[in-house]
This record gives sequence, structure tokens and C-alpha cells, in this order.
Amino acid sequence: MRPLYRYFLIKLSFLLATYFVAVSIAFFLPRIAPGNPVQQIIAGLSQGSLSPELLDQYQRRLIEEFGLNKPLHVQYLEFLKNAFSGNLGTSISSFRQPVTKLIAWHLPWTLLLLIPATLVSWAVGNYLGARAAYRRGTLFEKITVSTGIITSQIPYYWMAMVLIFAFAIKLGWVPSGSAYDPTLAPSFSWEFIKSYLRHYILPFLSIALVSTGGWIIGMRVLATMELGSTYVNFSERLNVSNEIIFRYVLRNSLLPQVTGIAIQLGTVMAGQIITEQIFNYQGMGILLARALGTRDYPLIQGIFLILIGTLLLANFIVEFIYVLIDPRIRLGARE
Amino acid sequence: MAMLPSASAQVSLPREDTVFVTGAQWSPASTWNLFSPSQTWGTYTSGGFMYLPLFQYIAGLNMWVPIIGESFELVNETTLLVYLRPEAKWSDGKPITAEDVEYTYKLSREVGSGPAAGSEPYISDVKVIDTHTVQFTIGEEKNLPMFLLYALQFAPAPKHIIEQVYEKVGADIINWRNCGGTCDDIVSTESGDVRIDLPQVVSGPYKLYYFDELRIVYERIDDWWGKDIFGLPGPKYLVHRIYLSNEQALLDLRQGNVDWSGIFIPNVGNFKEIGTFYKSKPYFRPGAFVMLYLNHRDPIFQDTNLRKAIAYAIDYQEVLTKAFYGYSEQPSMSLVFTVFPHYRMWLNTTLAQEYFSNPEGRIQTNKEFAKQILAQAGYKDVDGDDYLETPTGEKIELNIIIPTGWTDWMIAADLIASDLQDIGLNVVANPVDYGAYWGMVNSAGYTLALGWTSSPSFYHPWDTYRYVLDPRLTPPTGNWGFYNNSKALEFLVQAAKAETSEELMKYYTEVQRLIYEEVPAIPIAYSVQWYAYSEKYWKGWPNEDNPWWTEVAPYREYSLPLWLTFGLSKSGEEIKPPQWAKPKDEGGILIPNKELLSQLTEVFVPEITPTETFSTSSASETEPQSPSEPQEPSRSSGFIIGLVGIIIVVIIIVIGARKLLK
Repeated sequence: MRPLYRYFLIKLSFLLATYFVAVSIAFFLPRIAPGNPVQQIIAGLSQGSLSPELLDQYQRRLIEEFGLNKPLHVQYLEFLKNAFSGNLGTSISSFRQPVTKLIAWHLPWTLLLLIPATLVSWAVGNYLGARAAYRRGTLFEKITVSTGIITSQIPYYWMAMVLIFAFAIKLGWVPSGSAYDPTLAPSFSWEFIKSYLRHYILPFLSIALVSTGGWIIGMRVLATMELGSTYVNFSERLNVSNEIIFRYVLRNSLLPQVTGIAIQLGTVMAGQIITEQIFNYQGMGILLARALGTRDYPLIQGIFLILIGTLLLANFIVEFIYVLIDPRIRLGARE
Repeated sequence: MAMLPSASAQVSLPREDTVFVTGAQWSPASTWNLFSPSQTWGTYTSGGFMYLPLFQYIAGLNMWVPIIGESFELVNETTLLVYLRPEAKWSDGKPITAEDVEYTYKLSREVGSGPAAGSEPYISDVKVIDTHTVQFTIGEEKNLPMFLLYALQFAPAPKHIIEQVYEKVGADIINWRNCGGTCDDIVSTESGDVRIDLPQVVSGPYKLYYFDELRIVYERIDDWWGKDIFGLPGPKYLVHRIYLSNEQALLDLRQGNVDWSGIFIPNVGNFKEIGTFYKSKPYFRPGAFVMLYLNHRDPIFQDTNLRKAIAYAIDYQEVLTKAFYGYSEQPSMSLVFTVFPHYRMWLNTTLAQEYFSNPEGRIQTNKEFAKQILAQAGYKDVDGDDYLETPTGEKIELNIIIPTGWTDWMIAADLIASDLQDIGLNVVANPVDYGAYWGMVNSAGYTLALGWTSSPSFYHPWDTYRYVLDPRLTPPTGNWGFYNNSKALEFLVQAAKAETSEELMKYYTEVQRLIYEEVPAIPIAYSVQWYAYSEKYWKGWPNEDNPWWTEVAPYREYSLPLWLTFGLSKSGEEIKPPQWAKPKDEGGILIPNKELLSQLTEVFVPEITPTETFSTSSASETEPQSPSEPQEPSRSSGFIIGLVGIIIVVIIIVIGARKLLK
């Protein structure tokens, strides 16, 4: 078999296995935790004026309707069967809405935030990191690196709170939360897009700033190592212009950073889930928090299915791109 | 972005015509169908902007608002006549008739959900007398207060619409969303999916305009039938915004993005831009009781001495000021809602004085006395760990569960735990996530828990006693402590049948004595009605300076938050409190509760032996049957199977991968 295909197959089998295990954990974990979704619905209703007799009736009906009275292994098998046929079930807390529909509504908002924030911070961070390495000892390096170290260690949610406090509450320049003005509904009108962009600034910054710091640090180390290599020395002796050497160094140290993006995606996603809650930004973070809070089993499973699937797929694609760029990996896969 | 709601993708609401609300709905809108078990804020039981009841009791005023009903008459001990307003109309112009009431009742019975569901023991029949007269007949249990509560607060649905849905989908009508074309209105039945697509026909002054995952928008019906009686609500649009956490909601309230809120606000006095009912402490109106429930299924709480010692050891004042920000005063041990005078009359002050040396029945913190009770009962530190053991030498390890994130409750539980440690009990506060909290309460898997009671009704304190003491109830519907005392049940049954207020008082006194002696659960504070507002866009909010209305947390179904909107005016306009919002003798339309109570005591109640009526309850005297028990999702056995399954799969994968790699 050609090494590329072989590599592809091995990676694919790992991908599927990881996916399966992760999704199974997503099935079992919420069910081990005490409490179930039906109890919570009934508890919510019990604060109203419904009679106890009626609430008991509802509770029994709901437990039966969602199959929560079946043994766990039966539920698990059903879940697997449904998952493979693309049926993620219906949400318990969101009144029998198909899980796929809920995710389809929330996922675009998350991706709109996640992808630009990751790509921009990757590009900016790597550029700044390489520059910092290249200009060793200058004030630019000191400032960039120290800011990078500090921001990269800040948790996303804390950055979000600091930004809200400074720019929304104290200065009042931008809205403090949600994805667009509450008087508007999503549409492709200019008014809506303007409102969306204004609301976009803080969530975007809180994610991008923190990730940029990480990229700066990583890149600086890689570029510093690269700067000590023979081709740089050789080029310097040949009096090649600084800009050209910088471009060589940048390009050569970028390779590991490409795989880094796949690893980073998971971290950013995890951070974004909390960030979204702070901004009441209607992406997957809000949906997941709601699902976990209400023990909405089908919804929790569905979200993990999609999130893990997306992340694994992104990793897979990035790794594959890497193989295409760097023949060493392909060759290494043979042995 | 292809998933945008189709029908009304273009919404841009004029801010000055819109009231933004928060705090009543924490998850996306579900259904606006009166026959569904789950409902959305605004439908009926949680707001009443769309479907109105015949009458509504308002606890803070102790008055009834005649809404679709004009008057009522308790003919005899089994029959109630309700006269409907001739001017009442559905939003499509058809009159609201006795037939609508009868049909709603019958259908609701048939499908086991809706306005009449749960009324089985209390209402046996509903009959049309003429177009505008309905007759209700009392149910088997002969419980007049519950009969009246269900009958008077009954919300009819439009028969001419509901009939069409029922013909199409039968009992699956409970899954109808009734979103009037703003969503895919499909009901799944056994024979397949059925599209409904009927207009939304309502009795209230608002109907659904638009909704998505983060908001629900209602639009005012400008030619609403009731405008000559009640006027029209101020805001053209009502938007309930759905937040995940209090923090964003509070931020938006402070910035004026939200006008009306029902959320917990710590130290509200610090925020000048937020208005509350009272200008200074306690800021908010009380709503129900915050209780410390003791799990009576735990053998340790069989000992009354321990329960009593706990009650005496808690420093209530400290908890109220430090944890609850002074939003509440210390409640009476009697579980009578003493802050409202019309409820306070049911407190036996002599008895309270006798037990607690004050007429309010407030327990006075006395740690020395608590220690003394325990010492006399034989509680000793046997093993020298500074904590007491039971008289039989068993270790005592208690914890107080509270939902994590409920910061006021978490502080309260910490304070209570340290108070109890002071008297030698090993108690810690144990915050658990809300789902886990409910799991533990429901399955009696806790020792101590902070919890709540239902809100007082027109027949208070009966409703609160039932919630805390009735052994026939189990959480989450009541009796969180699994208290099981046949004497308490008997008093409750007798009180419901009492013919005169003297007789009623006799039974309430018995219940109060029982509570003082037995300490089945401990009231810690009043839960607070989170009613707060911003005046940036709207004025006329009810408060102590403008008390035209009361109790208007947006989630308080028993005060029908709808009424608040009738008094709102745009900022800059003149404030005009509605003229109808007064008792009848002051020129308004409100019916004083005492009018109903006097009708109640006038009718003769036949003697019924408790054994006959409560034959079902005899079984519960030994062990209350939790109806949910047989249905509890099975966990342990299945979990092990699942875990083994996962391990096997992982092993197969690893072996397979290694083979491939070779």
C-alpha cells in the first residue's frame, strides 16, 4: 500500500475509535450524575399552581415518553443505533424539539466566533512571535513577549469579564452581551449586521487576545531555534536582506504551528463555551450549559457528538494537510 | 444561518414601545398550548398575557379580580355558579361562552393535561346552564377551598379552534405548539406528522408575535374585548429575554436594556438605577417560605429533641442579614404568612406566646438551650472528636444540600452549618448542581436541605400546611421532608371541611401546636418576589409610592403579572394608575376575599368520615409511596454493563490499531 493511503487509514481508524469512546462517555457521564431531566421539569412546574396529583401524572408520562424507565444498556444500544442513523433524538427540556434543529440553530454562531478568532490569533501571534525572535533584545521583543506570556495565561472567562468591565460598563463603547440587539431578529439587513458586528467585538477579543499570546510564545521559541540553524548563518554571510531571512525563518517555523492549530482548537472551544455564557452569546456554549443544567440527556449527547466530531475532523484535516506539506511525516509513517 | 425562524425573520421593535422582561423563563419557549404540560411564559399559569382565567386571586391585596367571569355564587355545598361577562370575546371576534368553559374542562380531563387536569378530586362536573352561565359541581373529596380555587381560576380555551386540532390529532393535542404560524406547527402522532397551522386565538390582550432561542415577543391586540373595562396595557410589545445566568440579566437591567426583572439581585440598595417595591429594606415583597427540610426517612431525625435543638441553634438574624441581604424578616414557626394581615389572623398568638414568648411565633435563638436539649436527651461526645454522638453511640454526620450558584442560599447554609457545629453537631454545607439537588431531594437522599414552599393562596395557611405536612405528597410536589404523621393529615382534612371560621381556627391551632412540638421542618426566611424595574423607558411601576398594584414579579402566576402592564406609561408621559384596580366599594371592580369566605361558611358542609374519603391514604401511614419510584431510571446495574462494554471496545480498538501499525 502506498504510504499516504496507509497513513490515512491508520489515522482514520484512530479517529473513529476516539469518536466512539468519547461519545460513549458523553452518554454515560450525565446518567451517573444524580438527578434526571424529568424531575427538574416537574420541580419547575411545582412552583406554579398545578396540583400534586397532576404533577405525578406528568412525571410518569414524561419518564415513559423519553424511555428513561428502560435499563441503561437498552438506552445505550438505542442511542448508538439512532446516532448511526443520524437521529439525535428529541430534547427533553426544549419541549420535544429535535436535537439536530437546536444544534443547527446554535452551531453557526459558535463557528462565526471560533474560526475567525482562531485564524486571526494564529496569524497575528505567529507573525509577532517570529518578529520578536528575529529582533532579539529590542524593546519590541520585550513588550511582545511579556504581554504574550501574561495574556496566554489568562483564562478566557476572566479576560471576558475584564473586557466587559472596562469597555462595556466603564467606557460604554460596546454592548456587554448577547449576539445582537434584542430589538432585532437575525436577518441579512444592514441594520442587523451592524448590530451583530458591534456585539461581536468583545467576545472576539476575549478569545483572540488570549490565544494570540499562546501563539506568540510558541512561535518565538521555534523561530529562535530556527535562527541558530546553518541556513540562516549562511544567508547572513551572503548578505541576504533581513526581510528575506525573516521570511525564511517564518515559513520554516510555521510547520509545527500548523498542527498546533488542531490542538489549540479544542482549548479554544472549551474556553469559548464559558465565554459564551458570560456574554450570553447564543452559541453552543449556551446550549451545552442549558443541556447540562437540565440533565437533558439527548441534547447533551447530541452536542458532544457534534462538538467532538467537529474537533476530531478538524484535527484529522490539519494533520492531513501537514502530511501534504511535509514529506517527512509521510515517510515516517512507513516505519 | 439557514435555520432562522421562517415566518417573521424581519423584526425590529421600537424600543420606546417595548417592555423587556427577564426572570420568568430560563429556557427557550416551548408551547403556547393550554393543554400542554409544559408552557411558555405568558401563556397562562406563568403570566396570563394570552389566556385569562375566569377570576384571579391576588394574594397581596386579598382580592379577586373578575376577568372573564363577572360574578359567582356558591349556591350550596356542592354547586358553584359562575356568570361570564357578555362582552368577553376571543381574539377572532367569537364570544367566550359557557360552552368554551365546559369543553375546555372535558377535554382537559380526557387528555390528562390542561386547565382542569389535577382537579379530579375537587371538581366532579362542569355544565352549561346558558350562554353565559356555568355550573361547577364539587368533587368526591368535598374540599371546598380547593374546589373553589380550581373552578374560579379556570382558564377556558377557544372551543371552535381546539375542536379542530383535537379532530386531527386526538390526545396528542398536548404536543401542539399553538404558535400561530411563527413556527412549524406540526404534531407527531402514531400515524405520522400532522400539520396544524391554525391562527392563535386568545382571550388576553397579547398574542405571540415572534420567538427564537433567546427571546419571546408578544404583541398587544389593540381591539381587545376588555379595553372598556380594564383599558389597554401600556407597552405595544412585551419581550421576555432568556438568559443563562443572572449576571448578564442584571447588567442589562442596570443599563436599561431590561425594564422589568424577576432575578436575584445582591445588595440591590447599591444600584440607584434599579427600582424595587420598597425604597429601603426589605426592598422586595415576600413570596413564600424558605425552609430547612429535615429528611424524616433518616432514622436520626426520628428524635424530636434533635430537630428541636437544630431549630434553637440557628442564628436567624445573622442568616437574614448576611445571607439574605435583609430582604426578609424572620418568619413565624407557625408557617402562617404573618406579613400580610389577612393571613396573620390565622396565627394563634396566645399559643405562640406560650411557646416562644412572642406573639409572632418567632423562635428565639438560644444555643445554650439547644445544647441542654441534646445533653438531656443523651447526646454525648463518645469518641472525643468534639462532635456529639447519638444516645445509642452512633456518629452524627449531616450536610445541608443547596443548589450551587444560588449564592444567598450557599451563604445561608454555611451559616446554619456553623451554628449547628457550635452546639456539637457535625454539619457541613454541601452545594450540589441543580440537577443533583433535585435528584437527592426526590429520592430522600439527603439529610438537611434548604428548600421552599408553594406561595400562599386564598385559603392560606391550609395550602402551606399541606405543602409541608401532607404525607400523601412527595417531592417535588410537596412534603420535601417525607414527614409522615397521621395526626397532621387528619387536621388538614378536618380544616378543609370546617364550616365556621371558629372551627377552622381550632384545627389550625392544633396544626400549630403540632408544629411547635414536633418541628417537622424549620422556616428560615421568606423567599422574595424578585420584582425590580428600570425607569429609563417606562414609568408607573407599582411601588410603595404608587401602590396601585402589588406583587408583580414577572413569574408570579398567582398575581397575574399581566395587570402590571396596564399601569405603565412611556417615560415622559403622565402616569395613570388604572381606576378599576380598587375594591368594589371604592369604585373599582375587585372582589374582597372575605366575600367569598363568607359565602363559604354560609353553606352547610355535610359530615364525612375521614376513613371514607381518604381510603387511599391509609397505605401511606406506614410508608409514603413515591409514585415516581417504580419509574426511576435504573442506574447501577445498567451502568456496570455499560462500563464493561466501553472497556471491551477500547481493548478491541487498541489491539486493532497495533496490528495495523505493525
